Amino acid sequence: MHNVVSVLQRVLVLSVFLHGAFGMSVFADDGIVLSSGVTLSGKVRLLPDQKISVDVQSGGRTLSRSYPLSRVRTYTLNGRTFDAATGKAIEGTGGIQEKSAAELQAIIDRAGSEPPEWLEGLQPRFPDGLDFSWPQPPGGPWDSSRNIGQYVWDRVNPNPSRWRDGVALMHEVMRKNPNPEIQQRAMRTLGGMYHNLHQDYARAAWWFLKSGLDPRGREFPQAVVGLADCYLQLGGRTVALEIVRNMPARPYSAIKLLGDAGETDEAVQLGEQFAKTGQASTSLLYAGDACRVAGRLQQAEGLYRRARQAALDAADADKPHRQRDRRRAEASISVVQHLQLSPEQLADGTYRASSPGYEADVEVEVVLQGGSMKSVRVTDHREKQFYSSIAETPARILRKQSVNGIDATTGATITSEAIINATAKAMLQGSK
Amino acid sequence: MRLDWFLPTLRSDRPGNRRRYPGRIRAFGIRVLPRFLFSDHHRMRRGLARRVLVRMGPVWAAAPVRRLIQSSCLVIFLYLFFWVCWPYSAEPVAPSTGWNPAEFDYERATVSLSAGIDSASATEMIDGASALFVTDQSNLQTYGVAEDRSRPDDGAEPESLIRVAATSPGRLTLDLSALPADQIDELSVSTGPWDLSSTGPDHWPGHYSTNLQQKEQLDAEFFLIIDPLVSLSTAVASRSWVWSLAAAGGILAVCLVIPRGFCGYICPLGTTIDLFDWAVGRHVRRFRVAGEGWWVHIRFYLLLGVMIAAGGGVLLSGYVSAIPVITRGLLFTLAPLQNGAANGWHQIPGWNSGHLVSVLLFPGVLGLGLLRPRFWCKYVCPSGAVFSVANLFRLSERKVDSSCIHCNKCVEICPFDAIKPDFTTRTSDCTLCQSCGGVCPTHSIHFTGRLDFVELKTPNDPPTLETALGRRGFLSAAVGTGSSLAGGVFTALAIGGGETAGTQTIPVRPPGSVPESSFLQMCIRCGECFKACPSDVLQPMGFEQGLNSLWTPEVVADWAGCASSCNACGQVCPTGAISALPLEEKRYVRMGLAVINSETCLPLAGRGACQLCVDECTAAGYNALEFIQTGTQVDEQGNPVAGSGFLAPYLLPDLCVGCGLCQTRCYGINVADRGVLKQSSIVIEAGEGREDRLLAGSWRELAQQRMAR
Repeated sequence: MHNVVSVLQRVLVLSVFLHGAFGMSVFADDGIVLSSGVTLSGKVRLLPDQKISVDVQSGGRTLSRSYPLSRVRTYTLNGRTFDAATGKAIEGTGGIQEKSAAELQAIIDRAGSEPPEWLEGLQPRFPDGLDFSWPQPPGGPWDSSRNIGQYVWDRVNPNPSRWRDGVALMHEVMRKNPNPEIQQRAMRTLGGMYHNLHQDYARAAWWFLKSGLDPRGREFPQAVVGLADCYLQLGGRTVALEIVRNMPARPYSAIKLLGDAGETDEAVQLGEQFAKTGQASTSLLYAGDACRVAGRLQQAEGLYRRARQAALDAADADKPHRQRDRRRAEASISVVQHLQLSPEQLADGTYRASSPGYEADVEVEVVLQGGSMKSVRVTDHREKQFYSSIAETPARILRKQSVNGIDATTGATITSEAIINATAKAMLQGSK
Repeated sequence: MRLDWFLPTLRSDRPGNRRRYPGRIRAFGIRVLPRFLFSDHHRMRRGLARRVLVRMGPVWAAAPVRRLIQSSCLVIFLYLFFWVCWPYSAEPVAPSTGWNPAEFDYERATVSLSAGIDSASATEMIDGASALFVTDQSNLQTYGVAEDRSRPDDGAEPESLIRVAATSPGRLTLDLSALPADQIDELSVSTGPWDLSSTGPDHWPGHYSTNLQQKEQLDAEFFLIIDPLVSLSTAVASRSWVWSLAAAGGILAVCLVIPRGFCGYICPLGTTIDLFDWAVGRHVRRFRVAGEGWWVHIRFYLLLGVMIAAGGGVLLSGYVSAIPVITRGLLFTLAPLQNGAANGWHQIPGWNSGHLVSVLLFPGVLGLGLLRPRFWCKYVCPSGAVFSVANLFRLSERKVDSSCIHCNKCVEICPFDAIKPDFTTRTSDCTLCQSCGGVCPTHSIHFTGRLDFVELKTPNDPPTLETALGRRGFLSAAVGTGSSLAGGVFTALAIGGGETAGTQTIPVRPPGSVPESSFLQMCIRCGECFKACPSDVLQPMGFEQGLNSLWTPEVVADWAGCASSCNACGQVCPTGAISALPLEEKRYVRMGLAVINSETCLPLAGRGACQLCVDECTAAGYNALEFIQTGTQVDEQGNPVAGSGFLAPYLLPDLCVGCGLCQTRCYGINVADRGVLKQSSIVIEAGEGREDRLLAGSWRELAQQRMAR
């Protein structure tokens, strides 16, 4: 169970850290969730003619938006959340209606039965010498012009322009190599690609399941957590938790999933277990993140400090990934205590600060004016794969007018964290 | 002031046929303008206009219209050179910023926006547009782009899905109904501000190209194409039709009626020399030489030599013909001052020995004026010699009638030494500037049809001692012709015969350059491309490859990369050595190919993270560099360790055009700024298979064929 890294070879996901949840944060404020998943916080009023309106406070202005109830999934009024279709109150799920296992299966089957439009007629580009027997273990020196897994790792994953090619390549593998083991591996890889790269959770789940992935089996725990995350994303929190809790050997990406699902204590507990086993810095960082998202800042800081120490004490302290853990921990420590800063206490102005991302510092510019955040923008970064968070995380911060309780964008944890940290640091300058 | 002198052959001007006085133009002027401007001939009093002209100098007083034309041509030339060929007034089209979504009608999917900061410019931009792209500044997403367009290679501008429903000052209503539902949702919850743009995120920028097009009401290279030696020698050297031959033919046709009028009226170098002679030359008398000497026919020998060399396939005319001399002179002297003063002195590239030679040459040409006024034009300029030869077919000429009193005033004022001691005309030298006519006290000088022989003055009185072959006679002509024959043949053999050695680096030429051998035969070395090139990507070569490539343009990618929105070099090239390509063609032209040095490249050598070149290539829209994971560590089972290794550049050669932006960035940051490298780790290299050099045809089709393979 402790040899977490060894399972990577099968799944070839970009990184162990790239699992997250969307939209599971607890909305203390009133607001609505549209059927597309877009959320809007503000004073909610039910109008005649099956309409609902939300008054959003933004930068000293009040925007009033009204929607037909048919386009609204849930609304939260005076702290209680209702299902828009039925008008019934929903308890304990933080505003998102839990889907039943049958509903989830229907969504997954519908998505999986048809390939995405862009796949039709797509001729994947790949080196001529690619070896479609895809031997495992690869053997020989690293050669991304021959080994399919290494090609995906070297050339597909780092280039968003090749992500669709990657999917087409897996279909090519399935066409050319009837070997059942290879077929399964290609399907599992497809699931990983849809999950990590395309963020198409329904298709990802469909391919994970089609590959015959056994959630209770000892094999491919990384893919199992990916599957659980798909369920979580699609609105199946209970199903997701059930899968993760019943895994015989959990990878530490499970920490993040538990945290995202709101099971903070369990996430910390799992993190502590891992901390005894060697990958302490990474697992403690994720445990800290889980606490931070839940607003348990003191506990988060403690975990980050231990993560930093663990990164320094590790045998491979000089390796880039260990050094990155240390930098992340330090950045998190420096801001975690100030996360509760609200724009009202700060002086007007434009502030810039940066925090370490994947490759280099991510710089954020925050404009504070009249007691609110006017804009949050990433002004400089060297992040490559996960552009979604570059736009999404600032938007979330701006909507919430706070860095507290912002969860990381799925599949872009480090970048998201860097943006959150840099924003907090920038806001801090306004308090002096 | 005799305007009707300008087209003498069109007019019958005989001594018996007295002109009306005052002429029609003058009579009209007297009627509409104040009387004090005009002279009173009855009371022998000069008017204000005449007094001012006399004040300005004898030539102004004698032929003011010529001086006005000369000055205008110089001003136009300077305007073309310093303003039209000045790329830095171009700015990318900026989006209109600061729009706030005020009212959102979710059911109709329309939103009305109120203008924030710059409503004036905003409404102006919105006026013409029927569709707009919206960038939400709160999340930096752009909306309106049709989902999943296939590659934007078709050149067509993408249409936005967002329509403009209504406009009023400071307010705008957009129709979002064509957007996908989730995007409408996102926009409905956005608090703005929004940026509006009429071009989508994949829009290929064209601001440099548009800027030049707008400023070029007159071709920037106008004066170069009407220098007949430029196109004649180029056409002979390259054995091809050069488009500017048509312009040269035009000016030669004009010069049949105004023989050598180019030199007297148009040539900006001549006017500059006039200015130099006025400001400096007339005060320094110690270097003066006689009007006679071996030098008086240099221009013919230069012309002969240049044309013989051209016949041998070597283009020498650029070094000596009039307009290239002045464009290059200004390029190496005043242009850096203009650039430095406007953009900062760090913007000026370094100098090489080629610069130095050219910088010395220009004052040298002016300095000849110390020997005699307009020494260059009279004796040296081979472009002028072309007109002198063309004068054999002249239709008009200067003639002196028998009323001449031998006062010698015409000989003194003639700027071209075109009047013989007997006051008749050296027809190969006269530019019809009419200064002599203006000073003649007896009105004995006429500019009239060549075959007009009425009442001419007796020739050879006083005796001129000149032969039919000119002032220096047969011996001088024979020696000069012999030496220019030898010189021309020698240079043609010395330069034209020898192919450049294979070991030399092949220079990266501007986008759209013709094949190298033709390029050297067609590049006149005028320097226009350098002047028009933003941020000096093109720089003149020195003597690295001998005289052969001197002052030819080379892409210096360490200094700057070729701007994707610019096609100026081809547009201003007077000879077609660089093809004048529209931007839709130019963006596909391969100037060279990027070559990555895996020994030194920071991530490839495992020295550190760096993605400057990939970022630059992506931002420029070529997408020829992508990432490859490198140096991945593997565990005991041979599995990759997440987070180990670096992302390194990986070149897609079919997409690379060799613009050099990657090299500029690597050099600027890693070499010049941080000092972690000695040379850029990615460099543009030209040569067989790395560049596309066509004489004709479509680069774009070539690129599409290449990508289809």
